[in-house]
Amino acid sequence: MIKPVELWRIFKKGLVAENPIFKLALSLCPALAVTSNASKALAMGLSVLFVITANNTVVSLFRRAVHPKVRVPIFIMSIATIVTVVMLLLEAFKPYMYKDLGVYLSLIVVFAIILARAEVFASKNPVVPSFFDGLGMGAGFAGAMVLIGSVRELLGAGTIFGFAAVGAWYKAPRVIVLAPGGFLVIGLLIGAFNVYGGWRERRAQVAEGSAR
Amino acid sequence: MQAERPKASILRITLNLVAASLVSGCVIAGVYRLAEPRILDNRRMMSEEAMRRLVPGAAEFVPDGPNGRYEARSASGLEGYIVPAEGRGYGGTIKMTAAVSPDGKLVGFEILSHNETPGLGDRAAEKPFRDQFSGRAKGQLEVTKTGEAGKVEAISGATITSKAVAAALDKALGDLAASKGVKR
Repeated sequence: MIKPVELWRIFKKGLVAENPIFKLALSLCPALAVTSNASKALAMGLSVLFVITANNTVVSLFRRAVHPKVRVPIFIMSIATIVTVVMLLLEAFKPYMYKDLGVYLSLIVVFAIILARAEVFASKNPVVPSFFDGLGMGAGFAGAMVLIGSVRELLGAGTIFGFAAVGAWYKAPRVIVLAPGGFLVIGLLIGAFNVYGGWRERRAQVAEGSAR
Repeated sequence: MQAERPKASILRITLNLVAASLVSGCVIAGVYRLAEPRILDNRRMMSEEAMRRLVPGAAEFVPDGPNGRYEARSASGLEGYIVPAEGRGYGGTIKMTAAVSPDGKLVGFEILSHNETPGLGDRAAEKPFRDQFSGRAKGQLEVTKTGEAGKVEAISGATITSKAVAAALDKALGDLAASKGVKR
């Protein structure tokens, strides 16, 4: 049995230290395409969170049965199956949500981060840690999506989750909501993330130095 | 990697892929079977809802011809037609459904799917633009950028989208008139 501390460590690394978008720079495509507003970004983030967790679990369960030479096609098949099932269930039980997300959902199949976690983690680890790895990476992805979406929506439209956040005096520059704005915002956020990471590292070094 | 007996390996790989496809196929087929009735119900309900928003007075919608056209009927007779319309916008095909009165005038339209620029072209789905269309007949759907009277005023920054919507509706009106003219 694995200790909860260990699981927490596996979960936590996806949030900041190995954040899929800001640190691993994987799945930047959805981070650009589906973040023009916060609600869309959240829905997409949650869908990916679900798929990545489910896929990690499935891949880990079958990891001994899969021949190493064909692991990638089989991982992709597993992802595609899960996404298809999610789409069918959404269309059956949450038709309005399906209508809003429909086009983007099928794209989840090709998100690099999902295949990457299957390959790097789930195919080599038992089920429980793989589940938490997926959960952490998914949460990191969803969090990053919402952050990008909120910044773009706030700057580009003056709202957050559709609610007015600033007064009518604010002339929103449309470019933030369009594709170029996506690049700008993501670039600046990755920069901010690196600055913060560097600062934390230096502080940790200083703390270590004074402890000695 | 060390080559284990290649023949056995090929066989194993094949079996592996076959097994994976089989499992994946069965899972999808099973879920589809369970979900299908609800999905079909939802689709019917949603398209009927969209039509009801366009022609609120209608009691039922009767399929009319093979082109996705419907007659909207109420107790007092024919309320109008629901016709599909589509045109090429700035970012791809814009699909719409339009409501047409029995005398061939637009009642309104809804955009079903589009790929227009957020913040510019997608404003074609908003009320101020859409409301300009009601009551127009074929030939009255010219788009203007300067606010000329009697014409449809383009969304600023999205002239291509505005023109595409107007042209598609004009064509849909023409198609309806043509097919009704032949039939009756």
